[in-house]
Amino acid sequence: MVRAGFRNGYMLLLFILSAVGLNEIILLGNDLIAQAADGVLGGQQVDFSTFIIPLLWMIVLGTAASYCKSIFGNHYSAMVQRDVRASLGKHLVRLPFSYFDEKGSGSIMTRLISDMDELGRFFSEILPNLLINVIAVVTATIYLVQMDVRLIAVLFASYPVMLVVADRLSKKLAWLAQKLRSHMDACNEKAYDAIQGIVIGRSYNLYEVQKKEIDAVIDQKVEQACKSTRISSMGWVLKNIITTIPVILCYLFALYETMQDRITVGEMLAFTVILSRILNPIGDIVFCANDIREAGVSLKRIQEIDNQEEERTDGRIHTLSQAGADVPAIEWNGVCFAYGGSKEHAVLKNMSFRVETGTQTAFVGGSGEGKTTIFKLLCGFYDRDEGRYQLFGHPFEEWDLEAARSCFSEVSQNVFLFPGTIWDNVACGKEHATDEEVVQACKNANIHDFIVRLPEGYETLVGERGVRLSGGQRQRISIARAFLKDAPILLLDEPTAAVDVEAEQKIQEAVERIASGRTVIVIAHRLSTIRNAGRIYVVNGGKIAETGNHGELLERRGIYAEMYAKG
Amino acid sequence: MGNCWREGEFMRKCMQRDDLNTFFRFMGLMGDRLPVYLGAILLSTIGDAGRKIANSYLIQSIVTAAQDKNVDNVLLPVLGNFAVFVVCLLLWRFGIIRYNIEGRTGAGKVEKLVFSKAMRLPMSYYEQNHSSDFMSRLIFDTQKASDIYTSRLRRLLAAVLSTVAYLIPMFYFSWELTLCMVGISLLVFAADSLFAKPLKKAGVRLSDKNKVMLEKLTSILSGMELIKIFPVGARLTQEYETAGREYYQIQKSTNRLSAGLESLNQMFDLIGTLAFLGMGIWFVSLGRVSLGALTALYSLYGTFRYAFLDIGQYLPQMMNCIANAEKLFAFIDMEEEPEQWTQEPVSDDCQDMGEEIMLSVRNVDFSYDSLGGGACNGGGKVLEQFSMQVRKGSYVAVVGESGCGKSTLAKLLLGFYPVGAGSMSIGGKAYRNLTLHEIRQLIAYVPQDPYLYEASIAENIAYGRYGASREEVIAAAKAANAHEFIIRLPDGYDTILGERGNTLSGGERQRIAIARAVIRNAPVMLLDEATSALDNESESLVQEAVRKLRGNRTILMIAHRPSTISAADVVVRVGG
Repeated sequence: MVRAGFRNGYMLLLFILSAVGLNEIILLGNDLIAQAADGVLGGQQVDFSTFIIPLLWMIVLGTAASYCKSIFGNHYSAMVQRDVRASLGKHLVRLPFSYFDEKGSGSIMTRLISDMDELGRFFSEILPNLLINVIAVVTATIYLVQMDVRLIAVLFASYPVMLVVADRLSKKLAWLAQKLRSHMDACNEKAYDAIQGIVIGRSYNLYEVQKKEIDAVIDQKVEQACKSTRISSMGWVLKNIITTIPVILCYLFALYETMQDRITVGEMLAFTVILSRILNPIGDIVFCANDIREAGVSLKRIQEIDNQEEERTDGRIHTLSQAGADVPAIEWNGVCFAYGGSKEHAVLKNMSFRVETGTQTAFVGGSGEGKTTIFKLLCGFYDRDEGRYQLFGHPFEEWDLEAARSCFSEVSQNVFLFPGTIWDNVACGKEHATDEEVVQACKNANIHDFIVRLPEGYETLVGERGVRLSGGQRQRISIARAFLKDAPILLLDEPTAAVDVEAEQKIQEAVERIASGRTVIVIAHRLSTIRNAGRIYVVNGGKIAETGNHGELLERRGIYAEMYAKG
Repeated sequence: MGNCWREGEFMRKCMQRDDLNTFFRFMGLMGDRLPVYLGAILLSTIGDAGRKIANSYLIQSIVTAAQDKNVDNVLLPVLGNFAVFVVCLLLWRFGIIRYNIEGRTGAGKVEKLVFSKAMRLPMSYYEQNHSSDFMSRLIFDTQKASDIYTSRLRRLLAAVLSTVAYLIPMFYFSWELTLCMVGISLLVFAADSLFAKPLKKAGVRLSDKNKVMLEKLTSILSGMELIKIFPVGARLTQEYETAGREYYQIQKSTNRLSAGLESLNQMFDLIGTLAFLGMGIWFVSLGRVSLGALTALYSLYGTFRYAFLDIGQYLPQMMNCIANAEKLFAFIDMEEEPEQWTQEPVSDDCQDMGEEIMLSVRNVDFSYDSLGGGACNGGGKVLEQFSMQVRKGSYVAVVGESGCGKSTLAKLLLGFYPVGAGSMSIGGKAYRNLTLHEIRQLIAYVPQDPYLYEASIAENIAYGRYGASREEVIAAAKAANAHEFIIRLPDGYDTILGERGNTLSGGERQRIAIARAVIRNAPVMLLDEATSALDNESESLVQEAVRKLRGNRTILMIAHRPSTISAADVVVRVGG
């Protein structure tokens, strides 16, 4: 980000130059007028035609400088944003999955989006405004110094008070605004809550109760707003008085200097004009400080993401033909794992198992026993803390991550659908997938018939603004993706939500079709569908508690048999 | 810096009559506080303009003193004008506080009106419109419309009023120069409105592209798991970058436009300033105006110019807010759920159902078509000639193919929709003779995916019956097999549930919903069995809770699982 700021620095430099140029032209104009005023007051016959040409020049140059200033400043902002976006996008997909998982991708997203907004605002508004204000103050100061040093001394002597007050005030105002904001959010949330739960509200006759609650929250908000306005309006009154007094003092001092003949009346005129030009910039610089503080937080957070280490890209790409069929697809030996590396909350404790190539293996166990974590470790989203993990006979850390992941495809009900067409969503299973391949995959996944019945077929939009698909339909789309990917190992996250009988059959059929000839690893939430698994691992307390097929496990009368009896 | 431009579009777009009507109707919502509100605006504007005028007179007296080289009479006007300045500030403060109070209260009134309306629409509306979609639109429209009260109207009125207020002393200082300045300001105004349309278009294009860009970024972030497994990462970053580049291109062309506008403004500003001063000095040399008046005029001109140009900026903003108010009124004018679907009284012919029958449904037809746009199935009758009788105290399981029949039956029983044909009765009374409020008072409902409010667990349960005590809440939770897990939570019954009750598992949420139904103590309990995300253990706890409730209540269970059916006294099949 900082790099992007520097790389496009020449634009910023051009911007500063044009801003300085513009200010100089304005000051020059003032000077000219001041001379004319003095001439007039001195009783000279002033020939105004001599002023016309330079004035015209100033107008032309000033307009040009203003154009340059605007375009260079905005281009700079656009270029920096473009560069940051480009590098951020590439960087994000290379970050380890754990980063998103731990922070919760939802919160990263909202933060990142608002931070990017803030970044845009910083480069397009805050920074240029600050520069313009500083330039205006500096150029005016230099001009005034040449005129009368004492004037500028009085001006700056009386300002510190104002700076302190303005700073305090801006903080107070920001605090009030934030407080009001939170009241507004509370109010909207309350209303939102009532509408989301309208079925309950309606069937329990809660209208009166909820209306009272919402009204109370609104009243609180109004009250807060009224309180804020008392404080902030008093603040503004104070600010106005405190900023006006130095101005009056400056005027009076200028008057005194004129009486002492240190400056001419024309110069005093120029002084009042310039004073009115730089008063606002001085005030704004103070308020800028607050903006910069806020933007700084966002910039720091983007920087933080920027500094995150990317996933490793070393490692070898093993081809599977090298491994014979007798090599187990997956072998774990004493694997331990805890999120965030905290030993006390270990999820997997000394876990060992084998998944033979071409077989079906199921993991069962209560919720929160770490079944999903096994999937995450298998795909290399996280690194285990201890133990060995061999994928097709090669230690996992020797694998190139991308190559290792190409061995897996995942089928689940909670698949993410990109906002886009159904075609896009299926085709992402394979690079450069052809139309025929996509259609064939959908046919295999028993979703083709459903898709072609939609008015727009494969071009139907899904995601937020498109059609809503049921869990079963999503699952079949994920199966179609998996067909396209054609990976040797299939991770099957069993559906948790029941679907109707017909859909269930279709899904079952599609799952069987894709499972044949592959190594399949199932996470089972309900026990009805895994009876056919060649090997079942019962996960309990982060370890494999029982192993065997359905029959064997029932005979053991252990955890599995108990779970089965309950279901 | 660049994207801020003045919209002068109103030059082309005169106020429409409809807009005016909407505006007056909206202002009417303030009721008898309207005069106070308008008075406060006037007062604050006078205060604000007065203080700037006082400032200009102060400058005049100082410069005049400098020109005359005579400081004897300078102190009095300086102090006097400063006093006026302070008084005006206090006037402003008084007005602005009153204005804010009235404006915010008015905005609160609008919100109350809108939100209470949002809770009273027919159920079909909620089914056809996704709640988060229409609520976010509604909240947006409400805020925008309320902006009329809390900022837009005052800004516009203040700009108009103070423009006039500034012109008076300006003409007094020098009418010739003032006319000249007004002429230049009109030119700026015309130039601004010339740029307004293309800039607005560019703004729309920018925000459209920005949306695309955000969508791509969102895809990357929420599809992270997929990106790791499937080869889509490169494509998604490519798309994001492309969207970013397109955005950049539009930004670049917009920049040229806004730079054009800015430099044009700067040009007029320069012309104005230089010409004004040049001409002013000339006038001074002719003796038509004093240097003091000239300086005062100049200081006022700056403020006048801003106020004047603000009119061009604020009027279109106001018009936009009125458009939001119009949408709001369209919402407020929507039909609400009636007290009762049909009011024609029928005789309670209870001959075929003795005291023993709790619920009776006879020859009911229903289709979503009649509601305009189907929630499911698209069309056709969902229920046809459906009848059932439920005895008091029995446990009935309703089964049938997955479709709409079963859940629709529950909705009809709750009076969410009017039946097409046929009749229903509850507790021996015909639905037609009961208000919807009365019907719902008799039923405790547990939907398939029970909604828990963002409140504490105790409050969520207590919603079942208004004014329920803590003891009753705990008793209900115990009956619903929920007490155990609730007291294990760090905050127990006072645990605040997160968005959509996400902090609890499906089974736990289900049991809280059952506790809510238990505390209602209604004769009929209507449950839509949870199909989703219940693991074996929580499922059996939920089932056990329902079993415990058998006996004194009539239980109607919409069943999805074989195990549920086996526990029921009677099984009713819907459809097929």
